[in-house]
Amino acid sequence: MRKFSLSCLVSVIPFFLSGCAADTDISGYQKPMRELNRTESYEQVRARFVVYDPIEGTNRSVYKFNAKFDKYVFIPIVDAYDFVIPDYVDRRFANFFSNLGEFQNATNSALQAKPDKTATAVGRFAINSTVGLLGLYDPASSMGLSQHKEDFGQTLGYWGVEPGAYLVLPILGPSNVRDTVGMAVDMLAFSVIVPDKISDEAAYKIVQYGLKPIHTRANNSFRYHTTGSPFEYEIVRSVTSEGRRLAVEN
Amino acid sequence: MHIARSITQGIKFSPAIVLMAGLLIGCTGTPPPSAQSFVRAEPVYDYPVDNAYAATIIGTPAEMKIRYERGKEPVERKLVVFPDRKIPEGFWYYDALNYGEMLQKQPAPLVYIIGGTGSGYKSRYTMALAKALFESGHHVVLLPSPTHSNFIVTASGNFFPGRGDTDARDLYRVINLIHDGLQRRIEITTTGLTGYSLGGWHAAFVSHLDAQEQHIGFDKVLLINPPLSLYSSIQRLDAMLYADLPGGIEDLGVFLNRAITRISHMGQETDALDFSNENFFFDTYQRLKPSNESMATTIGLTFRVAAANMIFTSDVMSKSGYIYPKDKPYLSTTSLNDYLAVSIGTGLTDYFQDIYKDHYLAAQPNLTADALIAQSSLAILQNWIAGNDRIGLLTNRDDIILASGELQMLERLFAGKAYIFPTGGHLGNVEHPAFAQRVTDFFEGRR
Repeated sequence: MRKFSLSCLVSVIPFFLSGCAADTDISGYQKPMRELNRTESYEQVRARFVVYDPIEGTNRSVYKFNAKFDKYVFIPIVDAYDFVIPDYVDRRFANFFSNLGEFQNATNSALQAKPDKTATAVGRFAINSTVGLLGLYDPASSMGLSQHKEDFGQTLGYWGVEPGAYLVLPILGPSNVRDTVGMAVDMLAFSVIVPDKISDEAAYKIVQYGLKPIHTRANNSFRYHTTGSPFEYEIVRSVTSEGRRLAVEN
Repeated sequence: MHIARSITQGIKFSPAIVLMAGLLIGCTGTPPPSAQSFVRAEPVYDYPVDNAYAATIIGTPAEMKIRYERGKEPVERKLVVFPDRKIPEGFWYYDALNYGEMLQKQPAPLVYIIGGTGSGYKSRYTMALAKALFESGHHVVLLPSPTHSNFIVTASGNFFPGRGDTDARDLYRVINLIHDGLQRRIEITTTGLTGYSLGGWHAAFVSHLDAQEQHIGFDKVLLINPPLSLYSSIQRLDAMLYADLPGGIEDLGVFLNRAITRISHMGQETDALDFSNENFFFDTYQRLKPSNESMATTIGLTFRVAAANMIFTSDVMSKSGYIYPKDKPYLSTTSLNDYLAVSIGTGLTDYFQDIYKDHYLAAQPNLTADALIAQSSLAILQNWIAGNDRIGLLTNRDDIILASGELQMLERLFAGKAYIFPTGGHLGNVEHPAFAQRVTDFFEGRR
């Protein structure tokens, strides 16, 4: 009987040892061998990659949804689009949408008090809409007027609005609070200037809400989970946030 | 690295490049005026970058890059290696091993290509090699490296990649399964094996294993820019990361901020930072003239990110509790910020000392750490390589992953079986026509 209780006690000791505070983190999991606070250097590396992301759990769920949507819906459509639409036609679409985007570039350049960039956008629109056959061709670029993209998120950033929390939007993907508001404002402004006669046309709806997203996805080479990194969420978050920071600066 | 990948995938051909390529194809591809005058045109080796670090980063400048007429892409295939394996929800996107296939319609020789450290089947170099071989009439199968997370999760036997004979077993299991399936679908005349960098090193161990097991019988095996000793190359690459980080890993943020600022200023000068420019790296190099130290750190960082991916995946799958708590569920909603930071701060040398070594020493009682390091050298296959005329080596005199004296040791090991380009750094010249020609000639038995 005594022997039993002794061996029982001995077998229980390591259990207590491994269960004591020094070996578990605040959430109750066993501490790994290498951990964040062992040296300060990890904190610095962490600070370089980490973006303000208070609703990370939700964002990660949306990221997973987007990856699945991409795989089962978007990419099959894009592949069919690539197969059916010749590159030449795709480039015409690219120019057409890009020409319509000059409205957004012009207004936002003006809102950022950048007269030369506003003039460029207006000039490009004038040339490409006429000589460029309603924007299907881009003679303005050949004439030395290269495009400078601006949106309302950049305008807000220019006037000092911080990006705010990182957001993963359903289907649309990585963004932040500031740029999400910016995108909504840009879309609203665009819908206001397009005459109802045009925006009510079925052809317009097909182009704007069907063709444009497919074309945009087809021209973005990113494919979910092909990076081979278990940290893909963090890398996409860091790279897109950095990209927007630079876009605001330029 | 990932930005680099998306840039290279998103490349667009400028008219000038298309014209140049057209001229190049026109030079070598026009039918000869008479059968007698037909001499196989030997591409001139005019690779222009003589700085080994720059060559490693830039690769082959666009106007020199080999272009392929058929432009075929590999078909993605999936292979379930361990049907009973439980995969954590955090890796939900890995339901099987992903590999690529480019098959001829007629009977043809087949070549398996193994990717380098941390690369999937569709890397810049597996693609370059696959296109060269496919265009010259081979069936091609593209395989990820056993150090790629998809391979570790779905096809690794013990989740501790990096050991020659163990990785060879994993790869051989995969190759056998694919091979058996292929033989039912296509006619294979002969079978070859190649790989670049760590994949070249793996190719030697796989073919050595095949010589014992004799399931496939590789007719030709080509090692491209392999390390001589994996342990030595790991130490070199770990050290390279710190070349321009005087204060250690905590300087990484400063280094990256400086690089981003310099590159974005370059964009402001030209009014547009054109990432779709196929010569982005070459142009950046010529304009910014980065120091050797900066370039070494850039290469070291690329390697470090690949190592971080590998070490973290291996840790989660083996439940070792090295970086990720061993009892914590791994889910797609789990925040990884801290683990990313620690993984980036962990080199492969740390991984070897802290966990890999103990795992293998525990599994094999009379093994020592020194013996484990010695086993990471191709020199342990010395006798087998010497007596084997089907194996070959293709590398560069200035390959940065080799320590001083290691190239000479490789030359001795592969006496009479090696071809060494004078420049190119580590894999920088793989997309050069003269390099591709060497690869296809090797598999067609012309050299």
